Amino acid sequence: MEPRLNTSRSEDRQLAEACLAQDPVALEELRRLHLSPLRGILTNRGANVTEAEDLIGGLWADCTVGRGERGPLLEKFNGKCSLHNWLATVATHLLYDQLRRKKFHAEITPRSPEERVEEVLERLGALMENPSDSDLTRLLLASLEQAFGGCPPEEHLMIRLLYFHGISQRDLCRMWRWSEPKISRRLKATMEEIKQNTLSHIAQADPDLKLQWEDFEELCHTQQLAFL
Amino acid sequence: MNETFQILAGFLDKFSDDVVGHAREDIPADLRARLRDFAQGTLDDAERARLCLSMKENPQWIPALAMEARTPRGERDAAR
Repeated sequence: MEPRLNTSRSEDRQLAEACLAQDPVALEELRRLHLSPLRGILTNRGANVTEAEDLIGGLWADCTVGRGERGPLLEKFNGKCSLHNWLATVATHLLYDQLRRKKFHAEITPRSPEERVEEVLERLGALMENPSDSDLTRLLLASLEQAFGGCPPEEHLMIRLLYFHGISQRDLCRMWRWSEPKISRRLKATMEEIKQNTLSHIAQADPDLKLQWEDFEELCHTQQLAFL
Repeated sequence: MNETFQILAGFLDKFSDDVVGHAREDIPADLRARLRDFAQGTLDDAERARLCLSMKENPQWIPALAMEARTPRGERDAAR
């Protein structure tokens, strides 16, 4: 997956370090290049404008200043993915948490923007404590497992051999006595089914969360490389 | 497509408990023989389909099949 912005990962790490050192130029760059674009991403993924602003406000408040015993958010950035994708992943976890809270606690007491950002910060703290067990991680995993489990047996086995056990496509050709183009066609068709089934499972599980396949792939990729 | 599969496999490998089968010693001799035949490409279509279904239901057998299927390194290099 390519980072959406034209910045290299080493530049991203330098930017994060400069922000942690409270460099005002770096902080402005962080806000302008990395946080402001989250507004569009979050609204595309199901946030309303106020929710997106609150989430960005929470991230901005937490990026360089720790709270209690917890260090600043940017200290968790390891540079293995782009800063843009990393922030978008953190924000999407918070968004999904927000959407679920909204669903299960329908009545919303009017609150000030400061109180709403404070709540985002509390939820961010909880996410940072156990990111692998977040609601969004469980949803991504369940959707993918369900789609993967729905593959026809032969394609299911091909995928496992190729991508989990390092068997080459040439070996698969020998085992199935099929040509490489035939194996490729079957795998390609299976991938399309996995995509559709995964997104369908997410839509059924939570219609408020709007993910395209590219979003799903980016979240899976960022999460395994560098999530918190 | 390869990159997408690798991303998904990496995600499942990291977060899922039950996707990657673990090798077990207690594979019956007749099954091991069929795995060897499968690896060598000598099963007919119907038998291969039955075995694929069994492997989906018993993923702990897949590492044994992978071991049988893996082309020896020297042979693979010679084919390049």
